[in-house]
Amino acid sequence: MKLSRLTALIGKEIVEGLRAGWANIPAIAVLTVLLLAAPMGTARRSLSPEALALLMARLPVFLPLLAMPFYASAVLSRAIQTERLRGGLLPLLIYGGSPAEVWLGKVLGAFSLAYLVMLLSLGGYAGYGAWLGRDYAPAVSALPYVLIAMPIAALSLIALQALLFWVMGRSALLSVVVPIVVMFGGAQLVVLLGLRPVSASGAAVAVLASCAVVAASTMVVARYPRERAAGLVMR
Amino acid sequence: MRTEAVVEANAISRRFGRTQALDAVSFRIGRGEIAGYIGPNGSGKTTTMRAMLGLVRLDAGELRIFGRDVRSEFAAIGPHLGAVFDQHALHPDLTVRETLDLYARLLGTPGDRRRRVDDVIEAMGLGERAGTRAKKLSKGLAQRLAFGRAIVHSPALLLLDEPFDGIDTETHRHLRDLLRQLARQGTSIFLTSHDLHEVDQLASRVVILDRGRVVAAGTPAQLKGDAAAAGVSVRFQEPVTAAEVHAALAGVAGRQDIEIEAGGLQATIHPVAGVPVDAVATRLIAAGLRVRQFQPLESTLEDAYFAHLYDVTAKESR
Repeated sequence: MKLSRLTALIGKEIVEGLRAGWANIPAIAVLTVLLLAAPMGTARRSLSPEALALLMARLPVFLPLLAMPFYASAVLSRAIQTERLRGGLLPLLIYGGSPAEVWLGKVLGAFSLAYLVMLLSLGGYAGYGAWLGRDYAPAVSALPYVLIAMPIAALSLIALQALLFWVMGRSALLSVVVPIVVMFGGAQLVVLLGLRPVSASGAAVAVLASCAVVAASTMVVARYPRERAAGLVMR
Repeated sequence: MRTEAVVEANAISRRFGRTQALDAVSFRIGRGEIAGYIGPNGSGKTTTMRAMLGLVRLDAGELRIFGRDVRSEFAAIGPHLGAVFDQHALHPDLTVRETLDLYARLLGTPGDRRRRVDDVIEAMGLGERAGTRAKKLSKGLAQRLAFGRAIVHSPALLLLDEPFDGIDTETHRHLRDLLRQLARQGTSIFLTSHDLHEVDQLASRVVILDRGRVVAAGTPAQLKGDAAAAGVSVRFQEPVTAAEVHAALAGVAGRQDIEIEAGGLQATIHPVAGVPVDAVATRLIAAGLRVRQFQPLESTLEDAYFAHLYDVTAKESR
């Protein structure tokens, strides 16, 4: 794998993602804030006010797990499914780079844009807390989790979506189903995790597991036939 | 003289289900040669191109490019190929310059990359559109960009699938001149097209394909020479009427295939398929028409193409 090719491919995905889906960035940031704010309503009856306040304060730590895969699903759907339909994957796969480079370029391009969405969501959630008169901004001690560990953990979810889009061929249904599953599954995951205190060892395990998932997915892509990835119809 | 082989296909075969897409196809392309690959839809042109791009596994035979096996050594071959596909396959949200720069970066263009990109933009006549996104280009300009992308890294072999399909006359001419120039500089070109006139003008070697089989191959001159003349020009000693000629040629040429010119002193006649032009002369003389000159019309690549395809069909129906 050549770094110069990979950076060129990541740059391409970022430029295309910003131009084609710039409106999605604030929209998904707002939606993420709304999803995070939902426990205020749903858990109010079952949790004590103290537990609820604790949950709401902890949620930003897990915000990357919700915001990043959700946004990435929209980016990857266009970057893989739509590009395949338009034939754009073909030249990339023939002489743009190896399939693994092309795929990883898309994953890391989507990751970069999703990171931006995550930062916007974080700011939005802190602003929402301020509006309620509460401090929902993550504590300084939690920043390494929010800005590094959880985004890396989210990378595995992004990679798995990209793998699904890569091997599923021309499936329009997939482009609709995956974001919905990610949105609701992510919201549930965040609420579930938000009730537990985050630990350094837990974060380390999540980071390592995520790296392993990305590496395994890359190997699957490297072995997947180029002609299928390019969407060529074999008679 | 045989030039150094850039592409060598030896009895390559591929079947998709019940369809034999390629049936023991053999051909070679030398350095700086433009090879025209023609045939009806479904004859195996695109499958051949895909095989050369390592996108189709062959059931049998051997396909080598630059002396390397396409399937097992494609990673070494790919960077030296350029391809234009039957659809533009561009990235709609990248500008002309960004598209060319991306591929120049991916393929490691020798020398100054920016200068090379500028040169290609200039060569493709896209200077005024360098900052325009691909999705806003007209079909002709998009095809120019697709060509530019294919040559930005100065490939040794260019593969073109229907490159002139649906483009304007100006772009057509521009691309034709560009291909000639590239071939002079040593780039080998594999060209599939339904535009036989274009292939005749450009190609130094032509392969005619039908239902996955090579039915004829050679230089355009050889193929045209092989084909029986598709028509004759006849000059008469005294004026004849259309009715006399039609009556003389009943069963040999239809009314729509006979044109009477010069006040009845001349006629251009296209006999029905399978009838030799000599039969026209025999019938006219037998009918008492006084023939002064009998000149078989020079056959075109289109005549050769249909003659070979007709020949195959006729042999199979026997």
